[in-house]
Amino acid sequence: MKLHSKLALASSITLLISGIVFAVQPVEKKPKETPRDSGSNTSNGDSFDNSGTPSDTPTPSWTPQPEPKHEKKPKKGDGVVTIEAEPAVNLQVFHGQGATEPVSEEEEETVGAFTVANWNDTNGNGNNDPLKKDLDDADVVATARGRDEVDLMQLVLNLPDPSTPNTKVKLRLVAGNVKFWKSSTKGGANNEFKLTKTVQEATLVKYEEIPVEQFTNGKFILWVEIRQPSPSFRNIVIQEEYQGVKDTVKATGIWIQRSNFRNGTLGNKTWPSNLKKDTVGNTVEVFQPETYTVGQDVWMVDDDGEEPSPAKIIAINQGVITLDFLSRPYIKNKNGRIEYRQDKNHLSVFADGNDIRQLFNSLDTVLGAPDIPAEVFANTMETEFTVQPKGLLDNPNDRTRGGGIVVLDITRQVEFKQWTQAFGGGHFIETLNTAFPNKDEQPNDDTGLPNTPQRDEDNVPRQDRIYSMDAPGFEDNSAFAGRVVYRINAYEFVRVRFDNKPFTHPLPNDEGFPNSPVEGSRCSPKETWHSRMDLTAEPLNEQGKWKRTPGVLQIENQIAPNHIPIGNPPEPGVAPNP
Amino acid sequence: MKAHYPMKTNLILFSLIFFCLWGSEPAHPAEGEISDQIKQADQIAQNQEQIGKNLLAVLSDEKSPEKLKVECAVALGKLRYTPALPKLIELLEVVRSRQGRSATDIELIYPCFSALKDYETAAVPSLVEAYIRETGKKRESLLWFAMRNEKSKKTAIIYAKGLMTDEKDEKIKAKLTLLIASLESPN
Repeated sequence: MKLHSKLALASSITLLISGIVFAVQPVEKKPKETPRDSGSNTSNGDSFDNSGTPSDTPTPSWTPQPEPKHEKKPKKGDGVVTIEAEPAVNLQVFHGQGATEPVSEEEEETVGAFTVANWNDTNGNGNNDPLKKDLDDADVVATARGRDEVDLMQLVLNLPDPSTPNTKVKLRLVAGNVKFWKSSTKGGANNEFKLTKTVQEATLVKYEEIPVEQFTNGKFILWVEIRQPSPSFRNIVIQEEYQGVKDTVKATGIWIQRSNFRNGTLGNKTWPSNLKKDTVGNTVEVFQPETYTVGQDVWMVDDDGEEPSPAKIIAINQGVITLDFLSRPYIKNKNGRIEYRQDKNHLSVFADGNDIRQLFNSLDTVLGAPDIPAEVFANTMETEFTVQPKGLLDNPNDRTRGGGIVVLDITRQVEFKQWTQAFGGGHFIETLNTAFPNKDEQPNDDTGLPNTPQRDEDNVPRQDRIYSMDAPGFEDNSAFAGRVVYRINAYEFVRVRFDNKPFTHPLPNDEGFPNSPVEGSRCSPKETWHSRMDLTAEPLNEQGKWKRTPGVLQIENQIAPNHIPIGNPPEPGVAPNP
Repeated sequence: MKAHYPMKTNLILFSLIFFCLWGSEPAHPAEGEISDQIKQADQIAQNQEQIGKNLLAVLSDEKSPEKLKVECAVALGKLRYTPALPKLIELLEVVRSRQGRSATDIELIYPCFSALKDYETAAVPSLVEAYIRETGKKRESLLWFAMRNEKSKKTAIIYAKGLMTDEKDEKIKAKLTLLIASLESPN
């Protein structure tokens, strides 16, 4: 039953018309949603999060039924027609990062607004503490290492038209884990706009009533902080309601996590590296990774670039998995995957961008810190990040999945030192020295060419994965000194912008490591890795080729997660100042 | 505030603007001056040809010091001396001695690659022809990157499509198809 509000304070216009009913234009552009009877509470009452719902959320048990146009409804009566106009209610939401235009009426529910779940450290007061989040600050104002908060979404409640003095507008949080603030930087604990009331509907809805007198110039402006990454698109649902008429906007909070660091030795247990045999029919057997169980849906991928094939694990016997390749088309909402790879030392198949693969080919090397390289002498790694929500940017033309709005960029901060020792031995000389940039979000190892994809990155998600690679070291294995010690620490992270514009990348140059401008927002943790090389010329002269220095600890020749302090060169160390 | 002018005033303003613009056009050089410049252009072209020949000779000489070769390669790129293209492609993997820090900085590592990029579209036919016959993975990738930049990419696609129409060799046709697709790909 419709509870469509006849109580609404409509402008009642009475027209005296001699037997003529006028056709009247609608007074409101938006269809309104009809309040429903209360259903079961699917929320925990606190987080308002619909985790685990695979489709656009929330998915209530009812389907919102758009009303017909809100036309003034003529009522006949003794030659008198009464026309009641419902109030126009308009709620607007903006993408994060200070978007100047609201998401359009047409897209505010179907596409919604995007921003970062507020797990980054925009103001830089965390000093690279991985646990520090803006989420925990009551005010996010710039420190020397950061900027004022940019990640809250502007929310504009427009004064209903018409509205009546001494009435109230409701701000309703139907779903999503968010907080509302009166300032774009939060502005302190007292500046939070709390929703103090609840009503049980299909979900437990939190709301607050705002007297119309509190609107300024017809607007009541708030800032929305997304406090948890969205498990699905548009899981955040906010409404403005007045006299039973509602307007709804939706939003998505992005967050990205490192899901692998590949160096040829780590994490191999999750990748069966050999196809054991083909079997009759739809099954194939691979070595069992520890994490899989019978009945699990997985993906079988090969290094030939073909689409992954959906499969189900139907048996595990003595470390061998039997997969059933189901007779069904390509399915995106997979529950797991198995990768079959050429071997553990090559790029993942989902790192399928032309540029990253060509770059890897041009190095003619393998992942890790190989002992006997052909020509290149470098430590090579691949970092994999997994995007959330699933499906983000999986179709560049689909705005409902961020296409044309969201731009991702894997980026990097590095500190490093290099020391060389002459062919004749003696003290080391410091030949390279670069420190981390001062700013939390400022890259200093992210060069690129104009209007050209970056070679060492694949920022277009494939199966929700994006990739970067790096190969600190020397393209040429000709020794330029008797011994070289080269140590790097790096932060690898992802940043995002919501205006569909590319990030700015400085050109590579020989002068050093140019800082990139701080752009967008960090949308992943700052993941650490290090690379260390200790090489000696063999023979020990200008015709020498690099070899890993014999007898040094293994950590002096590796590329792996975490940081190791750069430290000092081996004995006899750096020459003392004269 | 919007200003309203009578029609007559508008006409005067328009005439003034027209004459100002007309009057600001650069004057043609005098006839004698342009004759001198024509002669200079001819001389410059001859000089460039000679410089190109000299640089190419040094680059091609196996006895030339590596450092000098690197400098010659870079200079040839700036000059866009087209007879040097085959030699630059041949020496694509020559490395500029450099102390770290990443083997992925290919512009800084390979001087001939860097020079080929400086030729922009002028190098495209040579690059495509070399690419489709190249069998080495590393060289193939460097040739691909030399065409990938925004200045060369479109020309390379057009040129490769042109080659497709006459090509009989199925392997080369397949390679051309892949080249076109990879250059057209945004990623």
